[in-house]
Amino acid sequence: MWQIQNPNTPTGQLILWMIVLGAFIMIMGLVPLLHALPPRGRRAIIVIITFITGLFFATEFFLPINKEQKNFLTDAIQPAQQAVQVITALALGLGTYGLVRLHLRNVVQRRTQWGYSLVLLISFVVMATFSIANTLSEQGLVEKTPLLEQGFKLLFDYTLVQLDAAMFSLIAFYIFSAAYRAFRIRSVEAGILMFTAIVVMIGVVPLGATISPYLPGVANWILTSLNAPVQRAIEFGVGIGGLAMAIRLWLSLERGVT
Amino acid sequence: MDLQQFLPLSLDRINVWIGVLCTLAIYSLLYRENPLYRFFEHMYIGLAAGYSLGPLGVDILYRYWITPIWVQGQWAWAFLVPFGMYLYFIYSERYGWVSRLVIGALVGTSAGLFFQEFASRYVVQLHSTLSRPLWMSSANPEADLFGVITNWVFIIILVSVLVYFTFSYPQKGVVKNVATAGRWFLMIGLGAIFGNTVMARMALLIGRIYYLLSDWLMIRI
Repeated sequence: MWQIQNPNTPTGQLILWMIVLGAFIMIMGLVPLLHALPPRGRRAIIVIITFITGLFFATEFFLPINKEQKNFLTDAIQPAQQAVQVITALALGLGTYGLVRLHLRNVVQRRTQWGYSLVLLISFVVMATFSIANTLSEQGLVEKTPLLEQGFKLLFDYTLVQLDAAMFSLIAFYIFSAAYRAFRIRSVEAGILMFTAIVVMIGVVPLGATISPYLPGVANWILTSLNAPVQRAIEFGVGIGGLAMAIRLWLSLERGVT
Repeated sequence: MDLQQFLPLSLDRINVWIGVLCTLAIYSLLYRENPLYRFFEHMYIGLAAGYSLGPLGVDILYRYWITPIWVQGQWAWAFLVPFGMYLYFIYSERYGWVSRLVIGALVGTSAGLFFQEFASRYVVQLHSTLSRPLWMSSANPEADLFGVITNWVFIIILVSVLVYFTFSYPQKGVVKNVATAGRWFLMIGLGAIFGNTVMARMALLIGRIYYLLSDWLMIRI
């Protein structure tokens, strides 16, 4: 029912194009109709969509399963997750549009430091071209030419990856000033924090074993026996808080969303 | 060092020199905010945003929307992208609320998936915590003295930290003492996390220094 026969024939392709076009016209045509609803009706539709999508995933998980480890919703989970990924990909376009619009406006209106916005836009367009072409070539839709291969390698491996690594390693310098502030012993808690951090830092490098053969073992014991239950307690707190927030979002009690 | 090999005279060396230029430009921030850093910072944002369109945009749309429709003939997928396009109404003053239909679907999905995650992650963690042997007996033949002590330490720390985070009742008397111990244990945990973070960042820095010395200056380390 949900699939047409012989989709790869010219007739099949034509039918599919017609369906896609019809779907666009139908869904976009709904907008003026939805807009005709009063504000309370609009909110009701958003609440219903939020509730049903949440209910679907929750129900699938909590319903009993049969001998094949399935319930009547299990087969629909994978398509639903694919649908979420497609919508997330469209949301990425939304974010990209916002970024480009902001910097394009900077350039067009010659705002302060508009040159940097121009750099951003040029690097964005060049990288997007190569990234999309590279993705299409991996799918076999575009030929992988030497220009594409070398260009993508230069932009990704020798520029983006290098900038990424440099940017994150930069934090190493600033973490020392943070450490200076954190390690000033002004209370018992600060003293414990400092002592533990020093033992862990020295214990996990060869210097620790040089100072004392027991130090790496102590550092490991702190990480596995003392740190693990603390992290688990924090995770339980996060989990319970997250569950409460999920229920509030699911039931549209958070007014900011609906 | 062979100067011919060091200079950017081949494609590989040009690539290395570009990588070095990127690294040094970012590190120039350590001196102070400067135009070179700002240039490469904006280039980084542009490149990162541009790159994401390939694997996170086009690839997903091709695999999960175009292929099911045009290759497998599953026509019902045709309605998905037009519905997702409602997101773009966010820029319309008149129809802006329509984007909330899609946002509502995403929020509902996130909530539903969190219910799954809670059951599959936190309940399992709780079970593994509560099933730790706390004494040596014939019922727990694999439990040794060190393991039992470690398990007691684990449970005591877990409970005391949870007590510290519980604000539903006033922390007085014994509860206050347990909560204080919980705060100290929390400091041990945070100290360990901080130590690990510092070492992870140091590893990244060492990686960069190694790149500069080995790949660029061709010094054998």
